[in-house]
Amino acid sequence: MSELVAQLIWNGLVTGALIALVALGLTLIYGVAGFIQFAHGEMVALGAYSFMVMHKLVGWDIFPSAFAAVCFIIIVGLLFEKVFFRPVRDADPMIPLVISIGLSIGLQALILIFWGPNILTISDTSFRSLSLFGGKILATPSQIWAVILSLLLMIGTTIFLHKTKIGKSLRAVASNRNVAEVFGINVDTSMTWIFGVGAGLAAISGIFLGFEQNLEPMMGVIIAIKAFSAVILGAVGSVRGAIIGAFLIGLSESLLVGLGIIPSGFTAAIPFVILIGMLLLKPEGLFGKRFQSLRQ
Amino acid sequence: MILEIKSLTAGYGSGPSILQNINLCLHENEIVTIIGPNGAGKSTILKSIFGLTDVRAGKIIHGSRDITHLKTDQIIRSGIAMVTQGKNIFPDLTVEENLEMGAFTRRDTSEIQKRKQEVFSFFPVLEKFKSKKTGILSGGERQMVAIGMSLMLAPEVLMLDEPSIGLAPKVMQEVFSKIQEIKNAGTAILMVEQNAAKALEISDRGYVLELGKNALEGSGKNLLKNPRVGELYLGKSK
Ligand SMILES: Nc1ncnc2c1ncn2[C@@H]1O[C@H](COP(=O)(O)OP(=O)(O)OP(=O)(O)O)[C@@H](O)[C@H]1O
Ligand SMILES: [Mg+2]
Repeated sequence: MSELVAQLIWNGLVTGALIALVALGLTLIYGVAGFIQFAHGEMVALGAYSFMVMHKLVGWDIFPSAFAAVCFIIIVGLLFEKVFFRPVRDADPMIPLVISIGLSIGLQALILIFWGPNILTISDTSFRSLSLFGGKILATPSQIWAVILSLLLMIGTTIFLHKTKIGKSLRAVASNRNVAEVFGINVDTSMTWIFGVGAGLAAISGIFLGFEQNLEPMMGVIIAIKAFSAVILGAVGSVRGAIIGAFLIGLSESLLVGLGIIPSGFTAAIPFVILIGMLLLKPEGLFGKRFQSLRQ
Repeated sequence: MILEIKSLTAGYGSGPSILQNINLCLHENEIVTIIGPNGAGKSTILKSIFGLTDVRAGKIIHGSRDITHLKTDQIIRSGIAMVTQGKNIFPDLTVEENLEMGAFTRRDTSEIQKRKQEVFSFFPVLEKFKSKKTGILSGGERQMVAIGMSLMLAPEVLMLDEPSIGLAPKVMQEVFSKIQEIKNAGTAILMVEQNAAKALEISDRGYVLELGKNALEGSGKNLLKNPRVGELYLGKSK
């Protein structure tokens, strides 16, 4: 029993870490740009697919493939910002939101066109499971990497936001865009940064996700929904909240289903149940003061 | 003359011209106040100087330099700073971070540190709260953060948009005396105020703006004595 619980906790941590990377980008983009980027999940999916292309079709090693995929997705993210979101920067936040929904649907269709509806895998024979803690937990090297790298990236992002001048200026734009402009902080540059960072984190999550599950056009939507829930759970715009929300969702999914408390067919409902419970008990989110935009 | 506005016509985007043929000047070592009814375009004048509106005609000269079509960050670097009306701080950043962001356009780290200490000694309460989120401070303290942010730039010209708005009389008095101290330290001040009586008292000169046009102009004392100003802005009736 305890071994099962330990294994489920490990699985939950892995899922939580991957959700957290996505949620982190979402919450940052929300804070600075002021809208929920619905196509963020597709950045995850594209990250997984482009890694698969580099690794399996082109035949590069894992690390160069991952590096290339992350760079590619960052470029895509920056391009989206410039082409789709910058022109409506000062419009009602509903407009970029709707654009991002359209973008999400369009990208799913593109994935279908390029790779078809079939399920693809990044199976890698060099990835055999290791036993940790005296055989209590089975973990693949990619899972161990996923957890360690995610934690490092979360710490790194926090340090970036709080200790560097650019990071502080991003928080300043999120806090009050008008004042930021009055002190010469370039809001366009801030958008570029936040979309770049968000896309990079999403791509890394996607690559690891590709080792955990099959690649299919809807994979982005599924993790994005979990990440949205994590972001709302922790209070929209809060970095710490999004990370904790992500681990909460990852762990409860793994434990509730693994221990047979909830039939596995209902897995997809878990984030929503947690979310609804949260909204009933503490509508402002775990770390929220008020349920309102950080920009104001 | 440190700042001069010549026949300025300006508006927002494709909208109507809010300001029409405005003339205004500011000398070294002067406090100049713009008063006028709500919506007259007072804030729009300050925003135009700061490159935040669309200037359609006229010129804005800082020292000997034409800054009419410069970008905001270039105008800041030329030595002008602005404290905007209302929500003029970063509530989610600490007081110290707010000051650092005030100096965003400056690169000289050691100068920034020095300047921060100067602002702390000018507003001791800010040092006390330096690691606190600015959003939790009182209205008066926030206004001091906002002014402190602009002082980080060591500006030649400081523009203040309604610095006393929403402040209790005692705090307002404190803010006005700080503004005088800033002037005495060598920064020229262009201020917009609803509280015309208090503002004109400490001003060398004043302008009255009505519907985007110059209406009256004069020394602070003369404007205070002017019956029309008294009637319109000082709540006195004949
Ligand atoms: N960003 C903007 N876009 C379009 N119109 C604006 C904008 N800001 C102000 N206006 C318009 O310009 C006119 C003058 O506004 P402004 O804020 O300059 O007045 P004000 O004299 O500062 O008033 P108040 O005393 O209320 O602060 C108003 O009619 C206002 O609606
Ligand atoms: Mg105004």
